[in-house]
Amino acid sequence: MKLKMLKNGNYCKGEKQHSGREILMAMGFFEEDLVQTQVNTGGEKQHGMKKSLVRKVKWAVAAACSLCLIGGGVVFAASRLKWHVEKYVDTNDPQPDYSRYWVDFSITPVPVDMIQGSVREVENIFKEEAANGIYPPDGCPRGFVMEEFETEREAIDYIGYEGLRETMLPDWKNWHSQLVAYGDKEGNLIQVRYSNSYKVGEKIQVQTNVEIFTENWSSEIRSVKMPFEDRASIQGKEYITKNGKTGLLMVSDSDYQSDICCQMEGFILEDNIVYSIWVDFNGSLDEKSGVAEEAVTKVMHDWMDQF
Amino acid sequence: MEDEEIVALLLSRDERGIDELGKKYGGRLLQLAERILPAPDAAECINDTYLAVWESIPPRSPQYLFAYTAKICRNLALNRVEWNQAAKRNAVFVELSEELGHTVPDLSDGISRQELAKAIADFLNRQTKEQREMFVRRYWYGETVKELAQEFCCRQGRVKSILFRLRKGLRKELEKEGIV
Repeated sequence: MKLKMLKNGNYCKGEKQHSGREILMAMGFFEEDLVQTQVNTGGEKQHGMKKSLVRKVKWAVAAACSLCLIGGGVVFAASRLKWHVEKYVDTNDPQPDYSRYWVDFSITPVPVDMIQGSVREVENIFKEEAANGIYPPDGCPRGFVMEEFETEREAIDYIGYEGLRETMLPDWKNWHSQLVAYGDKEGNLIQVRYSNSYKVGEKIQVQTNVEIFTENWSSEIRSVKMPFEDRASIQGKEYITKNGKTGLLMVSDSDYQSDICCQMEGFILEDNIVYSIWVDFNGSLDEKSGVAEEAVTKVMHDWMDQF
Repeated sequence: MEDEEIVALLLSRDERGIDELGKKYGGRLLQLAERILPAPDAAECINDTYLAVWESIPPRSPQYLFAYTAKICRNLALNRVEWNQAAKRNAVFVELSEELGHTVPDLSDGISRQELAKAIADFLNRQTKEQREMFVRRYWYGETVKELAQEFCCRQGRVKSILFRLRKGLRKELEKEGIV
């Protein structure tokens, strides 16, 4: 085995784990300001909720502002779902050679009073903050998170919007749920989003999302996705469900994810609610175009066929 | 109590400074140590950290008290790791060293840890705030991909993607600097 001696007298065996160890040890010399960056993040739970989403939303807003259309455009329109691929330009990102896609949802924002569950209590918190002069940073909504639901049904009851449906399939195992309510500067409810993460067998991870946009929502209703290195690798496919509804599947053949050999995202609209699903297949690359793609597609279709 | 007040207590050699430090950051420090060491060793590591803080302030007067204390804690914990005894290493930390080692498998001869740290820090300082924070939280604080996904409100796949891209970028940077 190859041995190397570092200047400080430590030996590095040339094995992967040993060079990893050296990097971990070396990072002990980082300046404190670099390490301090995350100290103030992460909120404490307050009455079963924690306030922590402002930053995430800020990124989304900032990312949307920095998007610049370079040769993009509508590539495919599945009834009320349209997707675009655009060159991603972010002045803060030193590696600008990425593309990203977004999906526009043609839905009508719903009156807030159609949301009748306990989630409305969040408005009191938002409005109290506003009354006390506590405002989110410019361009950011207020945000609260709740993660204490055992089942989808509990979350649906908590939201209290008629027509909201459960979408978990029988063989899925739930391991994390999160409900987020967003408010505007004045404290009005603008969006409710509920996410569930599931494991399907050994290699598949699923995340489903439900989004309800209220009448107070003031910008485009869309979903902007992460950058991809190769825009040609992003494809949108229409899927007609067994009940004749139209869904959209976004297939992204990204090669920079170390252990995800196939991933797809799906969207379907119902009763002015946006339902979406993300499916990852964690496996070896030789499974990519065979087992993985087939398995992920089946999960997507099974999920959409419920609508 | 504000950090400045805790530092003032320590600078005046008032032991309440350590009590207040423990009250404010003890939980986070223990969490950090437990990501590197088994529980009993982590608890000892925290005591050693408080002692080191007590002995170093004064003369030091840190601007960032938590980062200063966490850095001591992390370094003490890493120095206690018995790398050759799997049972005495925390699985999370083994995972981290493997992730980094897979990306940067072969460091050049004669590179000091200070030089390596500077190159990594320079690289991180050119990334976006989100990317930098994700890297530091993963590889400095040892947070799991699941924790990061929850904190950054995104899918685990996105966290993995960002980290993978950062490691790939770091490798290029280290190659350019002649460190790999």
